Amino acid sequence: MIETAEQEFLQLVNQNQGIIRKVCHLYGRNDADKDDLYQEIVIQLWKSFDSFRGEAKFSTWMYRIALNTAISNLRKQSRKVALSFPEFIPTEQADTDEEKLKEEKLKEMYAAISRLTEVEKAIVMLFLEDKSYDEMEEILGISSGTLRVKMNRIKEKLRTLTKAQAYGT
Amino acid sequence: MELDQLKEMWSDVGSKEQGPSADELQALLQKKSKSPIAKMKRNLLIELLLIVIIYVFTVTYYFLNYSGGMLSAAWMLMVIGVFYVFYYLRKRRLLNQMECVSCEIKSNLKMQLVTLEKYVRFYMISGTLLVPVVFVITGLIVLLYSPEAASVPAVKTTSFLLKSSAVLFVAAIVFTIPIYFANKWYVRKLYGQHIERLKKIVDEMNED
Repeated sequence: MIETAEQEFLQLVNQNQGIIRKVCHLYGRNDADKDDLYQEIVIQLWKSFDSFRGEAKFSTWMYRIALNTAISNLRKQSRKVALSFPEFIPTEQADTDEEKLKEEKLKEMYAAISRLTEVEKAIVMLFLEDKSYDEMEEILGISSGTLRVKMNRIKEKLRTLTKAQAYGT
Repeated sequence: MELDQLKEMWSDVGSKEQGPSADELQALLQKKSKSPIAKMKRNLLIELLLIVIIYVFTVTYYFLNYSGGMLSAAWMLMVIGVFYVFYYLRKRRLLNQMECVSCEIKSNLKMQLVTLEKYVRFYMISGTLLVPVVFVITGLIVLLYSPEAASVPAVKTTSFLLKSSAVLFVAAIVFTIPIYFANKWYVRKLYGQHIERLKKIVDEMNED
């Protein structure tokens, strides 16, 4: 029985590994941090697996645990943090000027996201995951109306941050 | 670059990474959690073990080496030990209530903050109160039952005992004041930053 639960759990985690990786990319400050966070999220998921009764979607349940773990386990941020860009940003592979510019802009955007608060990062992640505001509310516990307002502010903040980065301020 | 443009590329994040194999994932399940609450639970268990070892050793020592009134010290330790069990259970219960990782993020963080503040208050009050209580009782035991004090006839007079109790009481209060501030500093050092951070996040989530 236990083995079956474990197998079922491992299978579900395997199918939804992308969620954990994305949370780690957003909240981990370096590779070691990301590995630690990955491990902690899997442990927390397993510890809570008994409480998963299928009332919510597995992915919703997983987002909650992954984000709760990432937000409440964060240690004090070191000032000297090397930003590691996720692998979807092509580094030094751009051939044309247009591609190089796009790569540069992507890096700027990612660097700007890394400067957001923990809550803002969670909202951005769910937005990037194409979640509806109702689903975001179910995960975060913030009303969809407030989330819309916050999302607009975040977009504005990211514009300011990317501009500031472009001008080196 | 706008956030909406990033959305198109977001689905690829992590897709090229080699994730852990089934065996590696299974091995992860056997590892200990490094979350702050898991660490607090482990520390509490270590504290319990240390207290049990120290108390058993000390109480046994008193029973083997003393008799008569001096055994009160051993009884006092046992009574404090019983209170410690309640203290341990209360802290353990608060730690168990502290997180619900599968709950909505806002409610989980709010609950974590409220329970952590309760935990810290309880830690502060019990840690500070223990000092004067033990100080006064130990003083009285020494005064009433130690062989050294028994050799002085004046010790057994009521007026001497009343004066001594008053001195002990005042000394206990004076002694407790720095302990209170030391406790406050220590608790702040242990949990202060985490509480501040949680408050900031909860406030941000409550903002409209």
